[in-house]
Amino acid sequence: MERSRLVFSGSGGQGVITAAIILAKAAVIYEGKNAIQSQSYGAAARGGATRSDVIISESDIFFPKVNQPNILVTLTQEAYNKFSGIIRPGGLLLVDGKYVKPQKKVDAKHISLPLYDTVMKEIGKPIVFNICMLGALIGLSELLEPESIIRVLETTIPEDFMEMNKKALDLGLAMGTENRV
Amino acid sequence: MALSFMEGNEAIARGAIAAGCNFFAGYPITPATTVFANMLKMLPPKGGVCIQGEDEIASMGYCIGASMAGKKALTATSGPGISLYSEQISFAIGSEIPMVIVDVQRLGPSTGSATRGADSDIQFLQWGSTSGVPVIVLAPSDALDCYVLTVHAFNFSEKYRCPVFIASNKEIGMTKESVDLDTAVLPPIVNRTFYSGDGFLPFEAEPAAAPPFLPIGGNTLVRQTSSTHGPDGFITIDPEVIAANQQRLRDKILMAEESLTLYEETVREDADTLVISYGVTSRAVEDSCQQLAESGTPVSTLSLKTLWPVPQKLILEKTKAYKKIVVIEMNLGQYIEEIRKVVPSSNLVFYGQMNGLLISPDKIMEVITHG
Repeated sequence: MERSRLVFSGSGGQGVITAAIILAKAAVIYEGKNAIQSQSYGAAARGGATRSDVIISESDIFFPKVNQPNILVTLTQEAYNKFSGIIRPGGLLLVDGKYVKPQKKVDAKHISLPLYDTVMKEIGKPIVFNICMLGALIGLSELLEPESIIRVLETTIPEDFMEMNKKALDLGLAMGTENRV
Repeated sequence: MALSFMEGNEAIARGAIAAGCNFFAGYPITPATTVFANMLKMLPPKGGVCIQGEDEIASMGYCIGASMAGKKALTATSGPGISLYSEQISFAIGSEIPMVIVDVQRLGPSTGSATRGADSDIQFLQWGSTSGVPVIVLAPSDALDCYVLTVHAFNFSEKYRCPVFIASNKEIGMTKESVDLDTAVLPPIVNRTFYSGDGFLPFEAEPAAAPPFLPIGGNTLVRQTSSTHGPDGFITIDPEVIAANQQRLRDKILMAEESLTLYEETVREDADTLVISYGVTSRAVEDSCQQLAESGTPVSTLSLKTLWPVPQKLILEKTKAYKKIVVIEMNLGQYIEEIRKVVPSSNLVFYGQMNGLLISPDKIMEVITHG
């Protein structure tokens, strides 16, 4: 696709902004694409609705925000209720099964995956929830090579935490690939 | 081509390093904090000094002192910090102390919205000091601009011995994007002119020029004061001396208008409309005008990178071929008043928005088409 428009949304502290940065950075540094990542959030450090927009494109990007995402990720019910209406018809809507009950009122490919529960069962640390989500997104969309994400993680995450992050990414990738539509 | 991925604030820090900045002082504030964080990473390894002041007032004081001692100083804050800097900005203007002040604007008034962007301070930056002396304000649109304009800002501050502002915005400063710094066209680095010879008078200068510089703490006595002073740096009440100094402070900026004017334009053949914008809004304007061009309506664009001194000659020259001039701003109308002084009101269409959101390309197309 010439241009991918993504919106990540959830609650402050879930790591949605971090995940968006990792994805966009991977696209630029390891796949040579243009990308832009911006964010909007409330004044609180934790809690509150958080949104991060990412555009990945072969051509120049001017306006930095996404009006109609072709990929939307919502990790809380609040974010789902607020943002599901903006998805481009036929777009991919990824939600976490524990936190979001989709209403399916919009024209989109709804994918609900047990991201949080799988991370807690297999790894036991919620901190890598966002990386598992990123893995699922890559598995579903084949937007980038998983290797590009791993290379960004290697440059940003302390070595001791790499194993856990890789495992979370793999769990997500497996779930995403299985549910590809 | 080496693509990197960085936010506007990091690009400003990189621009400062490229310009030879060797001193930073500031106090954290969203959305400007990462300028400080990046300077903290980059400056000490190069032998520079990076200080977190106890507050904005102290930080500005550090910058003034460092610049008086010959350092190239940078500070970064947002609107509420500019308020606190204000007294000492006047000092830096009056005592001709070079420095670069980054204002990563957020939505005001007052503490306003820490996490929402706006071009809130466009008039404030010019008029936030006592006496109404002209200042230089540059407005970037993206990360590459942040890098290049910071180098220009240091050059201007050194040449004209004055504070130079960079009017950034939360939506540029905290937005990360792909950028190829190798493609940047940087101006040659300018350093302030040092005085040579005997009989140094700290404020003796040619008309419409900044005085040659000597650092405090050297072998030659350098007198500095925030009070009205003559060429010798002593307080004066002599009306002629006062008038000459006031005129010089004004002329050194206003008479340099053309060499201070920076802009970008897209001229489209057969267009009868020109859209003028600045800052992050120029990005939405570019998108909307590309879409309009694809659908058969050519519209030209002018993106101002220098906001103060107002590039009146440029605006006059660039607007004369067009029937309609559309001005778009991320506030309720600050710079339009400057354009009104140059362009006949009957040709002007204005749209401003200040609600914490970027103005969308769709909205701009609507204004261009139906405004």
